[in-house]
Amino acid sequence: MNQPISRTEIIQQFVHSNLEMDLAIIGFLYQYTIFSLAKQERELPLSSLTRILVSLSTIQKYQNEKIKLYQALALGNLRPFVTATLLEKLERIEKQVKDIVRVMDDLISDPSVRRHMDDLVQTFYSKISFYQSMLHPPAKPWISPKMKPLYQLYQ
Amino acid sequence: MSMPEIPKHKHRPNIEETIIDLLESIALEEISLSHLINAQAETLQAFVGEDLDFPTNPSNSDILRFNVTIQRVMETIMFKELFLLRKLESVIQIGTQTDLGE
Repeated sequence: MNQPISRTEIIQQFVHSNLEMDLAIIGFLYQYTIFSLAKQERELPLSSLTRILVSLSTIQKYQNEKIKLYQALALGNLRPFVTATLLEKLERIEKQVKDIVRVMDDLISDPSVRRHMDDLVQTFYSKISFYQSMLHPPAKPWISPKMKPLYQLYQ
Repeated sequence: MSMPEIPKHKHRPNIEETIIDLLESIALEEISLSHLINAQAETLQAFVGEDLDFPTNPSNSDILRFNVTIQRVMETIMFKELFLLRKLESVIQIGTQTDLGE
């Protein structure tokens, strides 16, 4: 009988699967962009782009929700490991995302389609900034400048 | 109609092992979905060709039909992702009720 696997191994599997999904989405979007260019050369409509972008951005959103749950599962030293690994891989594919956005900007003229593309890219960048904030939390808690100091409250 | 009875078994997993198995199944399903997306990307690449010249000489309606297939597969993956998210939420909820140890 197989040995039961530990929580650490499960988290590592989740991190791995999440990265694979991100890479697959970016790889697919890259190929779909090329496909759209080829379609444009044949003067075929690009109407289906919206549905593809909606599917991809929705998958990304579900992925983000899952990451929060993985973070809840990861305790102690595991949390920085999860965050650092995910951040490193995402920063590596950032250039590819920029290339796709540049080509898509020329392809998409419809503002509603552009909104879905922006949505997808925003989700990607919010993921990066989320990990960065997890790795480097602010040294001091944020306090509203409008808040009166304690000694004034008790005067 | 009576409730089904689960037969006694030597290696019946306990609740912690079951939760770990369920979590592992989610990770594995996630990996297979990413492979499916990769396969779709490769299909697109083969269909379009390196010089964007559609090497199989498809007609315009073939291209549009191909596009619809790709679109449907991506939508199916999207729904599958939602089910996986719900499954993960449920498993974590069960896990918090029991002690999910190392």
